[in-house]
Amino acid sequence: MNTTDTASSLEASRKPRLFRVPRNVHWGLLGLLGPVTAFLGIFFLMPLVIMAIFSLLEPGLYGGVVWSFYADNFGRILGWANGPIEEFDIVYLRILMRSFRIALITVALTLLVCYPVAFWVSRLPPRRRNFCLFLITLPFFASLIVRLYAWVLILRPSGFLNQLLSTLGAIREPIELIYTETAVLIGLVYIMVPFMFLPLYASIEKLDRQLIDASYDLGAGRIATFRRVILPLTMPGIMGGAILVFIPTLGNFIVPSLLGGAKVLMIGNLVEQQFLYARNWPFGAALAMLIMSVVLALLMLYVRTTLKRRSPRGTAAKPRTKDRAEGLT
Amino acid sequence: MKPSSATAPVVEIRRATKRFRTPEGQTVHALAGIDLSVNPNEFVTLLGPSGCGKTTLLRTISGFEALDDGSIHIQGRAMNHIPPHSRPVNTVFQNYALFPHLSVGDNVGYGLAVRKVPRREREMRVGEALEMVGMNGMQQRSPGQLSGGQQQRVALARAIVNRPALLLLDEPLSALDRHLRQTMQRELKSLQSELGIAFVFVTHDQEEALTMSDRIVVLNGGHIQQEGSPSEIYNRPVNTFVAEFIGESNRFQGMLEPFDGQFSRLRLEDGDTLTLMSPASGAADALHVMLRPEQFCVHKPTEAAEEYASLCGRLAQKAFVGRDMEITLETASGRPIKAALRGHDSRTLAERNVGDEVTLWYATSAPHVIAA
Repeated sequence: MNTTDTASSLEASRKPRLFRVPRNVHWGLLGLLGPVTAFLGIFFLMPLVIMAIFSLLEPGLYGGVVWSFYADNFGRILGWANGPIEEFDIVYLRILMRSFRIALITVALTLLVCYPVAFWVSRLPPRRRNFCLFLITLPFFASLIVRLYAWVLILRPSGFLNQLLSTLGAIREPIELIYTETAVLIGLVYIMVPFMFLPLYASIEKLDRQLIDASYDLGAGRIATFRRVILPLTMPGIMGGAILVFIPTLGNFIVPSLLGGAKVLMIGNLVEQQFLYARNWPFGAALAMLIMSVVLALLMLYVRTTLKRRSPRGTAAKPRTKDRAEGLT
Repeated sequence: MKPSSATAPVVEIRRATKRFRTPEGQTVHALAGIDLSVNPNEFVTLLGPSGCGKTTLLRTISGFEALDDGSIHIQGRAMNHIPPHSRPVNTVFQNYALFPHLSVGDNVGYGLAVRKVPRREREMRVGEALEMVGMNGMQQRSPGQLSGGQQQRVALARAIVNRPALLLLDEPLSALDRHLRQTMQRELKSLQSELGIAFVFVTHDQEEALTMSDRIVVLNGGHIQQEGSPSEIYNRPVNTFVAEFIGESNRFQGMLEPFDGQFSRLRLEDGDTLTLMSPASGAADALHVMLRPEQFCVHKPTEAAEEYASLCGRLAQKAFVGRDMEITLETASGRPIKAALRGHDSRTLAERNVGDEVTLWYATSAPHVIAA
């Protein structure tokens, strides 16, 4: 009797509801994630979609867009455009290739700079270690433009470096430093070092020192230990840093325009020009979409290969891929 | 100790000295002139409390720490300037230190791969080594999938596969639970005799040391306190540190009375006396005397060849722990005496209550005199 009573009361409490909410909705989670999702949807995804659409529209004669499908924006870069005004020009691909090359060199150089430093910092006593980490983030406190102008002052013909070298008697005439690819690389490495350092440091700090001892103990010298133990175990940090440096470098336009002048254009400059000066938004959008799709393709390739390499034996693949993903972010 | 007259020691350490600077600027002697040699096929345990220098000594043998003074020879070769990776020793680390990015097979084969051993031979030897530790067939697993005991076995296989002249073990069992630890102790011991490799085993666990070792080296404060077989260390400790550190003991301190022809008597500070058989040194010096809890009995053996003496007191505590009845007796002067009794004695005591008068007997040959 008792049981039927409670059952019917349950029934009663359910009935008056106007609509039933699915049982598995977590209101708390929704409340926490909803605003972020909405924000990203409106301010990140929407502009991206607009740009993707623009890249397939015809540019208006005086700026703006004409609402008709137009593939020649991409054609100008990739080779099929042959219109009266807008033709394929190999220069765009060249700039694209240069951007890739510069971005890769920047990754390599920042890695070269950061790896030993990160190792050294991770072995310091905690207080000095934290101080070093603070120093790494110090540049963020000053404006990027100000810091890059400082490099203009250093690198220009009458600049600090040339004066120093000529006072030392190393050179007679000022050497050409600014407005070269070297200057662009110096600037990019300079601004990108913290982005490489932090993920690298995170994975090097986690490295168990006993594993290095174990490797020596088993007969491996320094080089073999580095290659067989240290490098593979810090690979997540290396890849994380490389991605964090590569992507912003590829699209960077401030450094090449300040330190590269008109001579060392990168793809970012080209996009900037199309939007601001040429007022050809569809072409600018097409350039931007092209970079983005190439980067995305590379990233997916990376994720696919690491997943594949990690998964073959047994169930251990699961926790480890998680490790990988952590290294990525 | 095993006979080794024909063969030279595997390791010979002479006057090994190692100093450390503390953050406060003091100098600490982790090793204060240690002399030690290890013979082929010998299981030597370095035993001591944490900070006694035992791990430092191990790390100087493996090459991770350099000596400030003294020398280490392995198989007759001076090792002072030889880096760890060129020494013919391998280590089993405390937390196993398995490479997490390599499979079990690759972990074990690491040393062979580094030495460019051809793949087929490598696989064969890896299989053999894993077989010895009962882990064959696990080559494809990743270390993260293994239990603590299994990881321990893999670490062991990874070390012995290189056929070192000497295997160093740095508290390898301390992370295992008690039951597994005892199993591993037995396995380690039989593995050692099977391989014929000298083992140097570091531990702070005296039970572990007594169970496995051919020879125990007790360290404290950077000095060797005593070295000898487990029974020597247990029954005849040379100083109070060893007596206290190894096993349970009752320690008495007092003045020795003149030898009366049959017995010596030790007059304790609080008036009790202890009867000794051995006419120890003779001088009326302050002496330390040790009696193990299990050297007491309740029923004086009737047909004993030895003379027995007794201590009386009030039963202060008793605890039945299975094989033994552990009791604490309080003498008239308030001195606590620990005793462990078994068999008939244990059953007798089971009927006594706390507070009852109890007499404990000991053979007069049992008290061990510690030279100050």
